[in-house]
Amino acid sequence: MKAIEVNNFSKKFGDFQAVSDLSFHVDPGEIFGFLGRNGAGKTTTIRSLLRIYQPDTGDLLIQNQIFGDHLKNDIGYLPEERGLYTRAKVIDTIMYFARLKGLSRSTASQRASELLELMQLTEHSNKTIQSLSSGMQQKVQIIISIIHKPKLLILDEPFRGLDPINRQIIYDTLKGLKSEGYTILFSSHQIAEIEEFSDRVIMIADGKSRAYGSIQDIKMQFEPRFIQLNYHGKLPHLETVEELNDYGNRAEIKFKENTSPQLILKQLIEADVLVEKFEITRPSLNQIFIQLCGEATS
Amino acid sequence: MKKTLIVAEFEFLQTAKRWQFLAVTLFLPLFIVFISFLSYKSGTFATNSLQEKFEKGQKIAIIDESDFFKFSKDDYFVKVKDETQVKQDFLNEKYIGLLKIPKDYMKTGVVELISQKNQVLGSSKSFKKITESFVRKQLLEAIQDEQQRKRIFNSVQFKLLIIDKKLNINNFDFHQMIVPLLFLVIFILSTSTASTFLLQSVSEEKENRTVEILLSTVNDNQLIGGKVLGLGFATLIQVLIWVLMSLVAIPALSAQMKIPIQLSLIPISHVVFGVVVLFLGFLFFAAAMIGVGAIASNYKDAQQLSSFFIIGSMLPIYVLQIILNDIHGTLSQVLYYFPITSPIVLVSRFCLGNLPLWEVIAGPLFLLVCVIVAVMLAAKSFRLGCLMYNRRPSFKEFVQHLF
Repeated sequence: MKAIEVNNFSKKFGDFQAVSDLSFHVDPGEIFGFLGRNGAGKTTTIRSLLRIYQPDTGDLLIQNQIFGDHLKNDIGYLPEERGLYTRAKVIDTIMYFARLKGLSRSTASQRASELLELMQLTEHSNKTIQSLSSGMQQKVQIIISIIHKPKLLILDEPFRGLDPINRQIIYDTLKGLKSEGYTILFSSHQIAEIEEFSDRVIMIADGKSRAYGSIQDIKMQFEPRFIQLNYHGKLPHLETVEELNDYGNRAEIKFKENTSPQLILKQLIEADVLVEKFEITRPSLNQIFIQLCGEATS
Repeated sequence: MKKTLIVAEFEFLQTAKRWQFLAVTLFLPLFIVFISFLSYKSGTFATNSLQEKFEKGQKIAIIDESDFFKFSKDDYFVKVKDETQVKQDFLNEKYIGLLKIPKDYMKTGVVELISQKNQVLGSSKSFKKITESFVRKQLLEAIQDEQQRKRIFNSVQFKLLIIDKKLNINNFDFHQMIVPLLFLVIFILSTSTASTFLLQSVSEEKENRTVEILLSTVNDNQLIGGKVLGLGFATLIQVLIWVLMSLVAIPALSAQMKIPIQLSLIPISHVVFGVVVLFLGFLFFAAAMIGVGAIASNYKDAQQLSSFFIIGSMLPIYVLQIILNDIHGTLSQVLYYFPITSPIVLVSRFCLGNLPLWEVIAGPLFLLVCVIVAVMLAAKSFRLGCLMYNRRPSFKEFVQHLF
């Protein structure tokens, strides 16, 4: 049984086609990255999955079922548009959501203490939400989404707006959840986050799927047309190069289709460039993302 | 149901902890009683203060240019001739007041009240009353018969009597007025405060983006039901406190103001009807506020949109005199079935109107139907508007969403 299954999902707002014929699935226990630029359709898909929006067409299933009251306690959700009751105390807010997720008062209290400690918020538990920094508020929201140990965790842009220290705390928490076997779907437009955590990813642009699978599989779909070069000397003009990023003694070269990288190596040697490293690679996820999103936009 | 109760508990505690709630619950009724008492007392005080001056022998000076008034001996007024001297005396506070009767008084009826800057005599009801009496008395000097003079001189005294279906005429029982008056105050105060809190609750959840996480945890009905229940409970406690305060205040005030009121004589049917209508009215306004809060782009916007309901609910107060004068008239009938105004009119007409049974049933029944429709519309509006951040849905979007 799949943790999440989306088949041929489309959603329109007025004349704007937000998502078009999107299909993917998430396996139990995997961390699945949902990658796309702002406005690509990630949040619309997540909201439709949770029936906050009604899909126009397609099936969106969680544990083989349409999301409803019977699944609400199995899900932890961190929305992209997030906020909390500003005048309420941290502990009251956490207890409220924990109890709504089906925990008893005593279990909720115990879990709240554990997670507040994990997130280094224990001393702030009796403060009002509005007195916390935005990073602390975000950590409270993460606590709310995981306090009931959900089978499936859906995190929409979980690292957005965090400083490096708080980001590291959330990183460590998610790593812990991964090792405990949680199924996590998380969306982001930050490649590094997706690459670090995800077992598999889907990359969407303009509401359409552009790449889908494990990061390795996606990279394999692209020709090895990149050269990682470490060198000394002056780079000559290279006719067969489509794109060159020169960082002094290091360069990234993208060569033209149907040309041989050997030809480039020969030209470098003829120009008396001392080559220390010459590695032919496939594009990075970042390069793939830029290429696909660029194509979609154009 | 469990989740609804958890939402209700949270909403109740969040509301009950607010200082605004405590202030409205505990101090507003006391403030109203204090202001009423002060107003009653200030009237008495002004009369007493004037009376004291008369007792000390001070009088009101009159300059009569019309030469019409006869000026028989009077306890309060004295005719003076030297205008300059009297003005000076008045400034030296020899006289309480200064009146000037112009030459053309018989034509215009205008009497000039001359005041010092810091003592505007025209604002004193007692002073005006005494002066009017004096002027009338002077005009009636021509009538010889003392009895006739008294009848014309004194204002008409009314005695309120009520005719029943058996054609018996009885004294008007002031106890009939207690529930409508108390209901009016309680309804206006409770719905306006509960509406404000409900409006804040919904629009804040939308503004601070809590609503999305809530909707992934509970369904619309649980959320709306919990809010109404939680705030309803807070309102119930508020109303109970006010009723208890009234039970203490009414006998005290009735003794002070010399209005004989016995709580045991208030008809129980009035109380039951009032409670039912208060409950239905609260539900209607709660639904309306949820709908408005969800549609509005922020709390300020929500306040503007809700003013239609708040001002509308107070409309019966402005036309209460017309309703009471013609309790079966067209306006009373229309407002009886208009959901925004119906709670106050329902109770007023029921308690004072001797309504036929079908109207007694039809009014609350129609309000109940309006409550059901309002709750359905509120749920639809909530689903449509709660995720529209920083904008409100257009009318077209709203209609499309309804059907």
